Amino acid sequence: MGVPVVASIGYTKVSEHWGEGLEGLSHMALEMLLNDLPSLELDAIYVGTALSGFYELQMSLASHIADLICEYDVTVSNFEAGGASSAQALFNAILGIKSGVYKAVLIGGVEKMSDEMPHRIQRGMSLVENSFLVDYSGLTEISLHALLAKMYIKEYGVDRGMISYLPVIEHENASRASHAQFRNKISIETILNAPYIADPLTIFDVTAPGDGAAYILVMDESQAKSIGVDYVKISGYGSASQPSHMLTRTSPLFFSASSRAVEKALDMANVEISDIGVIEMYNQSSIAGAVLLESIGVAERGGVGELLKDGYFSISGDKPVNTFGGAKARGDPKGATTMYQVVEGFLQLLGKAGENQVSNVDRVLVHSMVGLDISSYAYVLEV
Amino acid sequence: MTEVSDWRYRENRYRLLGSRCDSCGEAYYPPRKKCVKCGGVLSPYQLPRRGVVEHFTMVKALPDRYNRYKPYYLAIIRLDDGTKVFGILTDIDEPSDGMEVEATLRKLFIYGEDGKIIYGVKFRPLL
Repeated sequence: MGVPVVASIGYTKVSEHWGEGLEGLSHMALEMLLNDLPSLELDAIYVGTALSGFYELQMSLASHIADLICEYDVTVSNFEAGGASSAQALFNAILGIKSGVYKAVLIGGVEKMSDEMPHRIQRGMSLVENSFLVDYSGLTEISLHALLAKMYIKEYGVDRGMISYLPVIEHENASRASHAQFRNKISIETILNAPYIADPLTIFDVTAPGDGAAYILVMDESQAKSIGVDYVKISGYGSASQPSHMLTRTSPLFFSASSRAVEKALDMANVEISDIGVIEMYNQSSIAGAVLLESIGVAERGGVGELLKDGYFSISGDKPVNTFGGAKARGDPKGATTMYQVVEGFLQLLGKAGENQVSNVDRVLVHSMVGLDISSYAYVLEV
Repeated sequence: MTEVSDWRYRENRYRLLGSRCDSCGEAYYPPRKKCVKCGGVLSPYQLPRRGVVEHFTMVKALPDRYNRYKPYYLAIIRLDDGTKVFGILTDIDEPSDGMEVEATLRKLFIYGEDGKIIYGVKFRPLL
């Protein structure tokens, strides 16, 4: 049985890349990934993109990425699932490696968002939710997060400010990350005093559109050894789903899909959550991050705010999260977002995280989810 | 969404028509085909028109079709039978938790070159 490892990475800065489209961004990332590698025999190219068909009117993207690098003897597949698009691509690539059918798969994600007007961005982001419930009915992805925040504050009786310490940490981490989109440090007051996007959430509570591409090379361990590269192992993976309608769930304040996906990944890697050194998670808002941390068992329900405020999840804390800023500050180019998380886990594990290096990290949890925890994907990376 | 899908969902939109489980009685809006709670078969169900606001938010960033109506209040409403639904609030200055509301037929949005008007349910303070 094959052992999947991440053998190389390539990524762009998340930014407004006015001069580059989907292919240009991918080209930049792929040049970095392929640099210094011997010529490879790729078996497959899997590409995740959330909205290229909606924003850029480009579909079947994986075929065009194969064409971009003149690789015509590969299996190409496209994956579309919002911010988890490339998480799905990775999941399927792992199965290909483990089965022994594939020895080397190029996996990537790319998104081009800055060409669009804000109302189109809002609409595109909301299309992962049930379309009759959300898009058709005048709801948005972010308004669901806002209502979740209202529930959280009322249920646990916490101050409104307590849900917003995560973006403070994320911007702090991004301030030292050269590939991050938003490198400004912010205070809790900045967040609370910013304009509302949907109260109680302000523009600093939620992610913003960005352009970016990130690719990884996943190989069978024996192949990675033979080409002599530093690599990290993918020792566990898991996925789960739950009802898409938030009000149909037993408890909207518990992300059961993420909880079960993470549990499956940890079980497969034969580790506990306490063995994880760094968590790279996907949260489109401060409240989603808070509920997520409580759902995966690193904080008591209703109690994550105090831990965030006290630095427990900061780089110097016990359980660092989103060490390069996460989707909030590194940026959230939807289809590429999970690939950035894997890239950042790779850098942490190989001691290449620069000023953001967490000491003695030997396992990283990468988490992703579709919309507000409709489906979730989790991976354990280790050296 | 095309004219055909507007037509297909018209009853659900106009009448707050959901579905309810034949076995356990759980109700859903929008309607589902299979019960989440027990796996039972669902039949069409007319939801009650009245309820109370449980939570609300003022939404300021909206998708294109709704953008001309911004900002507006979006609420989680607990209907009289206990079913919870999302709803846009209308005819209202300042909502409050626990406020009694009722469903009313309103314009949702206009789209297309011919300015097609789509109607559906919003919630207003109980008259």
